[in-house]
Amino acid sequence: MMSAARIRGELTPAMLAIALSIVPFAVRAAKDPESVARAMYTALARDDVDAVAALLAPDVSWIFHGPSNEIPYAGSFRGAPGVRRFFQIAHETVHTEPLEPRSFVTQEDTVLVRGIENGVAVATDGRFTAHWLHAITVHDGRIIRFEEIIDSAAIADALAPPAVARGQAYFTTCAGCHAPDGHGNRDMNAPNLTGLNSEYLVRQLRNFVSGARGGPTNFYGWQMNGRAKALPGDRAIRDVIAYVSSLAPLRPQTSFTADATRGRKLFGSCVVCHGEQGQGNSSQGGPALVQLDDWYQERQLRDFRSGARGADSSDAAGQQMRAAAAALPDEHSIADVVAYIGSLRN
Amino acid sequence: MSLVDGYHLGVRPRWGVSMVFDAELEDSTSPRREFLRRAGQAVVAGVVLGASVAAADESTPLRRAAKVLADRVRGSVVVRGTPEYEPWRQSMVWNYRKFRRFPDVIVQAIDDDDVVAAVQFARQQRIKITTRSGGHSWSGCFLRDGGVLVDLSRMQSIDVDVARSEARVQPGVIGRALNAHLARSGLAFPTAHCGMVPISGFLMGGGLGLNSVAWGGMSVFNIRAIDLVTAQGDKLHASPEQNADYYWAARGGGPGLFFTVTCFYLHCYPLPRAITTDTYLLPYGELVGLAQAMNDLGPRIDQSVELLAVVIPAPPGLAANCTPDPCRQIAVLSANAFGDTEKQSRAMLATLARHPLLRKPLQKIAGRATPFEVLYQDNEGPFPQRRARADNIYVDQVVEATQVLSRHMPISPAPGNTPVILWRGTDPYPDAAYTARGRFYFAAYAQWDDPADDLLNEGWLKDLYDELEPLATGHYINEFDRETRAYRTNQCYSAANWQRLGDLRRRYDPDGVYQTFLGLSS
Repeated sequence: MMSAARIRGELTPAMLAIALSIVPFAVRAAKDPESVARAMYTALARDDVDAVAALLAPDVSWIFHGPSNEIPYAGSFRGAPGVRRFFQIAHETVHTEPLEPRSFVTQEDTVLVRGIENGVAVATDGRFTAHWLHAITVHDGRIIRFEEIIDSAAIADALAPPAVARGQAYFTTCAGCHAPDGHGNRDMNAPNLTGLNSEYLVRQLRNFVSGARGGPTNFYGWQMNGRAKALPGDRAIRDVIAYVSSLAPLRPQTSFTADATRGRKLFGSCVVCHGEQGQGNSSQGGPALVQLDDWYQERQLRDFRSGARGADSSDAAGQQMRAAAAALPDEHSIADVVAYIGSLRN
Repeated sequence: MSLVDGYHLGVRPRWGVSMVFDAELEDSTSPRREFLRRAGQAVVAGVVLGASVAAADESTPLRRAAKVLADRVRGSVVVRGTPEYEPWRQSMVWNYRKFRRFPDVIVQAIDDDDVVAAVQFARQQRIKITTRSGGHSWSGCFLRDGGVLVDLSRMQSIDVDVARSEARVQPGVIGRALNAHLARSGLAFPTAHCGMVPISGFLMGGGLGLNSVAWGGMSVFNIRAIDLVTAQGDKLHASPEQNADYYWAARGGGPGLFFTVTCFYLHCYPLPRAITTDTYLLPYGELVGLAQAMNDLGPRIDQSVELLAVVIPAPPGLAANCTPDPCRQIAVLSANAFGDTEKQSRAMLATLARHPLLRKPLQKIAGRATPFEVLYQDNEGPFPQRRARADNIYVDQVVEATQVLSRHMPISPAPGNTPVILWRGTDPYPDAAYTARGRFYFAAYAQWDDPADDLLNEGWLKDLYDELEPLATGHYINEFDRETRAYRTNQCYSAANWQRLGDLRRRYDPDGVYQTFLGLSS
């Protein structure tokens, strides 16, 4: 109050007149349901739960429609403490990109907002994209009711742990080329899939779905684009890789006889991500090279070198490999490195 | 009642009232949410390697019997109503359109004993049986309401007897793998043009394969013998000398067969060492002229030249060169010469270059080396896995058919839709179930992504082939749209062969254990 009086004391009459004409409008604008709703999304985008709480009526009802046995933050919450609890559980369960409100429609005191949410389940690394509709009711500039109707099945899918039994079903699509035991079939240009890190395999399938890997200039990747997109969503990717991980691992045969001694020197730059013995390094996202067929490694190195793989900005690991492959001094280096990796299997 | 009568009386068009009714029933019993809920709860149930029934639930007689079956087979058994069923069912179908037909039980076989067990199970349960290997059927003919679906995709062995130029091939073997394998012995087989198509369904429906004019007319005529499982669950060998009725039926009876083939004995050819392709790109306005040219050239070219035309969206650089106006689509003629040396192949292709229409194409790509892998990629590249349909006629009057086609292509609802016009040769066929033919194979393929466009593409294809039908001399069953035109299935066969197929079915499968053709009831 003191500071407000001091400011008012310094105003000229003209400024005061302007200020007085604005203030009622400003107050009205702040209480307008749509402005309150927009303020809430601005606060959410900053992860600022305090700012959200400041917009809530003391007895606010906060409702997230969905099965609470599958989505822990589904249900009804009341008052600012309840809403804080909602956000706490939600944050422990999923990490989401900032909400994208796409449209606002106001009907009397209620704002209907349509949007899309992208997220990752903390426990499973399952990905989801969920369409939502929010109904936000505002009284006297405060939210008295927030109701979220969302594609909760998409979230439940992301939260579900991968299931080997479902993965076995989806693997039918893979087995024609990668063989029923997942050990690959050179005649189908399909590499061994077993004995590889699950995160690596899941990432590759996601890249094939998004198009970050494959495309019309990379024929076998292009074929994988079609097969990967046939999987009904991200959960199916995790399911099928869970099944692949349950298969007996094959150690592929060494078939390359190039200059392994030279390959050993070149391999020095591979060690950080792929391990000294080519055993892989899951913390760096690098697959176990000894599990990849020689012919497949050679083809991928060529593709990385030409940019047929690793050119997409959303494939960070691929971009890294592209740079690494480009740094190889000549075409012979590819066979030499592959021959050295082959020697690591012994 | 003969089968010919049966097709009149027994037709149940898939687009009719009955399908809508089925669909509604399905919606009310297993909405996605319910499916997800149960799937979530039963994640741990059921698995897994080797024999499995995807549920401990033995609440119905069928499920109890399926449990017994699961203990008997090396493969997997999945029962409708269990959480894993829908992933299994959808995985059976290559097409992104997952046909809304629901078998009671899916059996994934590891060997022919598993097939025997599945047949005996179907007999005991008095339900019908169908088989699939790669699920590439355009109409999803193997997927039926009720009964047992036997998946043969895991049976993938190949044995080559070089001295006999023979490959013994299990049904799950895919064309690309077969030719890659055979090449090591200097042999080749007329697989499907797309290398991802498994050999079995392709063959039994006739098999319109690579270099087919020179390599037997239809790929199915290269079957020397088969191993099979009968409707009684017996294992037999069939050849021209032994169980000849089965042998006759297998060579073209396709998706209406009354037994399961578990091994094909295939006659192979010497590997052509220098397959070479000339490609001519022509303005769309020349499409009918191109058909005329193919009609002139077909009888004059070497039998080892495969002559086929397609329509594709005009590449940007070429569109401007079309006269009188820039064109949206262009016609493409490909001539694949299956020669042993480049010189030989080029000599075979020279006849084409002299034809007046082909002297001034928009562009000519001459003398391209196209070994099998390149041909496969050429054919598969434009057909990624998507929502898809196909239909076809065989036709002698190719110019008239192309006039019809040329009116429909510009109004095609999806840019990836294309016709294929393929010269078929005029040599006689051996006596076998397969009979459909004409001077040209005249097919169209629709492919798109958005389910909302399903009806648009279905309608486009149906309108085109309704108009082409009077010109048809027959239909190739493997690419015949049995979702919309099942009632014409008999026209995939001569009247005598259709009759004989029905007679054999009644004799060898009197209880009707095997499903007949999709959309027909007997």
